[in-house]
Amino acid sequence: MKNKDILRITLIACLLGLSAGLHAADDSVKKAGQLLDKHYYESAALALRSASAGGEPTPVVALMLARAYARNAELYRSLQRSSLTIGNMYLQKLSAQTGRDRSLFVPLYYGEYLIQSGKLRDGAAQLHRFIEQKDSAPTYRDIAQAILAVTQKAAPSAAQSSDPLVRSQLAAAISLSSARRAEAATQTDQALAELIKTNPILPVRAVTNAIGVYARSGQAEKAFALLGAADIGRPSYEEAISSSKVLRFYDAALFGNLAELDQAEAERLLQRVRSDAKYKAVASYFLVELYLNNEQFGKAVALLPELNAATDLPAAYRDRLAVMQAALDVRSGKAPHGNAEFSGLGQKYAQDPALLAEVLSACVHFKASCPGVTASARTLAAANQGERYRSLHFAVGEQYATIGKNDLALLEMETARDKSNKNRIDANDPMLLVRLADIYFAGKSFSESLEIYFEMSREFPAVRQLQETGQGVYSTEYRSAGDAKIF
Amino acid sequence: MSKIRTKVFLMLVAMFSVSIGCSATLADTEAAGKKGLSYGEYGRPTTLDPITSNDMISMRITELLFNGLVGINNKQQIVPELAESWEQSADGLQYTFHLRKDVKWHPKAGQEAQPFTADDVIFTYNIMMHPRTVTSLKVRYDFISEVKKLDQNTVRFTLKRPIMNALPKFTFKIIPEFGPSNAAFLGRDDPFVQNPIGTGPYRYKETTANGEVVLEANPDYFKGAPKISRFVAKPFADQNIMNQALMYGSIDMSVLVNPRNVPEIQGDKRLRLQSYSALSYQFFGYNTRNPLLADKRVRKAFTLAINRNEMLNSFFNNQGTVISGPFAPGSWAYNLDVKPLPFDAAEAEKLLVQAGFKKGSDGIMVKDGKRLVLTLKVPIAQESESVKRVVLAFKTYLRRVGAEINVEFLEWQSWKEAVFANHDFDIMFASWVFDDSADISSLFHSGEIGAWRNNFGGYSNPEIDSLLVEAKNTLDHEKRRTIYRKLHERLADESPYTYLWTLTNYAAYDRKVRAVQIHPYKFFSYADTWYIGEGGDDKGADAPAKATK
Repeated sequence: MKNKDILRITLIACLLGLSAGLHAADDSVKKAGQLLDKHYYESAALALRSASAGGEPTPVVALMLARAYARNAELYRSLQRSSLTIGNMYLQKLSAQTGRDRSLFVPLYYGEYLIQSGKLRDGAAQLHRFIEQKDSAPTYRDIAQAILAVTQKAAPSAAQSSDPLVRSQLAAAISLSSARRAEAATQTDQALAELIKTNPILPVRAVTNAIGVYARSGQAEKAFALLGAADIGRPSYEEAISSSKVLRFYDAALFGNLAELDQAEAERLLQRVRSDAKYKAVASYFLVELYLNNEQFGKAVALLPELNAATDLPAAYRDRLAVMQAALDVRSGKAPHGNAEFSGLGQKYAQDPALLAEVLSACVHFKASCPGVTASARTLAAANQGERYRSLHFAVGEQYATIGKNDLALLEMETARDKSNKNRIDANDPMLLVRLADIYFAGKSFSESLEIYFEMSREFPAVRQLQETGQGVYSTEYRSAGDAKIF
Repeated sequence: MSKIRTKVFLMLVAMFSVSIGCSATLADTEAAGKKGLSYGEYGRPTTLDPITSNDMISMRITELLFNGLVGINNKQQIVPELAESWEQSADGLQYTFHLRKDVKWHPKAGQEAQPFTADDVIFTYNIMMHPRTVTSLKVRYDFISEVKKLDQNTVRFTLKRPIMNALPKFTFKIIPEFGPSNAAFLGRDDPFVQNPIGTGPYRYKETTANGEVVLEANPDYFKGAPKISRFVAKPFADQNIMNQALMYGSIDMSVLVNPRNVPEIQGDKRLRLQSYSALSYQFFGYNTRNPLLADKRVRKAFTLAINRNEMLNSFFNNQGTVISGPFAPGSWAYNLDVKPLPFDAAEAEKLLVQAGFKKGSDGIMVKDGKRLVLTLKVPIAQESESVKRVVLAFKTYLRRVGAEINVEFLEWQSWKEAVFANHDFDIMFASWVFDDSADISSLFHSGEIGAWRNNFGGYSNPEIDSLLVEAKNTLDHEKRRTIYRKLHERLADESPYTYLWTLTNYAAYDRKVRAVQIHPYKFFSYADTWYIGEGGDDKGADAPAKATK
């Protein structure tokens, strides 16, 4: 369920007899629709928020906004996976360095990356290493303690420190407890107010923490205001070991917090639209998709009965709903039933590249067993290329990647890529570009990855961390003689 | 309809043949046989040996003809080539290579093939480093203090100091001691540079009157005979004609697709597009020996005076990225903090005035009685329609701020002599391509000023020299990154070039060519495992081959 969001919403709205809302849309909304269609999710959301400034958006605008946030959330989750892989590689290399010029801060950031990757014990060990260094700065030692508290499932108090940066970290830790989110938000407000008194440019770490806290406490507007004023492409910390050796560190939690923020806002908007009877089916449909993509299967399952009963959902979306139903069955303890549903859908759409791609993509992402679907998709993809088949080649490539056949995955994904604009997100699904970057990076074709990130960072400034850490890995991994030639 | 198109195409080929004196005919391809591969190049190679050549066209051919002591596979691993094993001393100062005993040089006509030995390695190193040898390689190997033959199949290199990534440096190609007519140094007049003898998967056969370089498979190749019987490099001065030749099956592969032709090729089921060489960029380089260009404010003014985004958009369909300094954005060395200078003609004029220029009555800037009139030299191999537009736009933009640019298109060899040997130019247009190391020392270090060296502009700056040396000497990757960031920043400000953009480089080939893997820099490194398939679908067969080198 990828592209053509504006077209989809328009189609659904028209079929539901709601086109008046779209016709009434002003230029900003139309522009936002175009941006959304070209995968400029950040810019689309910004335009739509501006169009609704001072009031709640109309249902159609809210739907578009929700779609922008949902797409962004999905993309940020994907970037988070890439960032953790590359960040861990980079920091592991730095961690191995010894001697006079070694970094003090590597254990702190490596610990954070490991914890974000779910390696709590290894992450805690790195944080302890950082705390035990006699030269570690007290502020960052306290920050490490606050992060450690999370791994120990302890309940830190935000009032424990007088340092506002430390308090912002403590607030991020306590916001993970649903009962203390309001407290965390208040502490964050105070910490930011204090930090801004000494420097109008907030530390990136404080911004990252605040985004997570505000996302969890339902205060998305504060987070968006913060993001509007901050440069999240900056490093979290720069360590000048000497005049000719400066290390840059980035926050492991940044992409995850951005995803959480956009997911929460998409959910809020869709829930609000859902309260309007005219738009209920559309909003519910997108909510199921939103929950499914974030692996909130219980919430998605709860919405299915009323969505199945809705009479005003267009037929094309019933097909996609069937795909989602199969995925939910697979992930809700009814795998044999779900697998059979996938198999049936694969047969039904064996000649429909878009729907077959969605079926295969869902099979892959939700770990269903779909041999028949895979075979149909490969056959159809092998015989066809061109724009109509791009999503199919992408899905077939994804399937190859999950079974470790990266060479074949690359072939398929390259066929899915618009070669005339190979790194541009307006011509390519950003999810495709991120996956290509992942596979190229894993295969040590680093420059191919960095080119993708370079273009992507124009729309998504947080991608800078992937560029910088990717450069760090590349600089140690390449093997070449040092040649330069005239072309 | 197709007959008409074929006639038009043949007419175009005929016109092309007359205009530059070389051809790519259908008959030639048929003669090449089914198992041969002919590929289109955008010019003729200047030399065919790995020491004197410094352009990509030559390098692609030498990659098929020669081997290094070691190779680098597609997993960035160092693998054996002419050396079957090696040892590194604990202090990182000595590298001992044990050579294969089963390698023979390509035979000279009517003669027995001679064995490859340690003497060839010593000879190659010595001739490469000789002061009179025409090469840009010396700077890369000045870290070696001595090379010694231990026995017929063992050589030891002693380094002046441990260096980062030393082993990959030994990928330099080995030439035979009996090859060059002059055993002391290698010049471009030595017959060897046009009649090379190597150890590689292909042997040099001939260069035809049309400028086609024909290579034949080496049946005695030490890694096994290659599967494609011969490679024919066909020069095309116009990328559009080369594209047509590919579309009509006159060639099997094009090493560089014009960005405008990408959609057409992507839509053709018979062909496959593959991107490569992300680490390249186009630029205008300045001859700082000219007093008018010695002042960085003048060079910077030229960059400010041109609208690079507009040019990229108009002439290359926006298929690239405007850059801010001497590295490509896909490189580990690119400083992301440095942004490209904006298009600002007013600021450009201001800088020229600050540099002492005054506008004359004809609108041309004048300083100390000298008018700001400069010659821009462009190689004819670059004379694609897009490049013509770029240089003409450059001329127009600069005219607006008071600089008169006279554009001269020169044949490739003449252009290289003018720029690299005689330094007879004010401004030149070209592209650099780098391997992964992003080593710019040969481009900007003052020690690299001289005939056939890469610092053709005579750029000299002690601060840059010092940073380049510091980067070269460190063994700390992060320290080197920091220094490279500084270099990017300083060289952006110094503007020895107007850095333009990095373009997406695509090769295109017929799907009948299978198992194709293209090395992002050297191109044909894995070509010995390619093969020509007949019919059927190449899915899977075309997957990148496993590491073979």
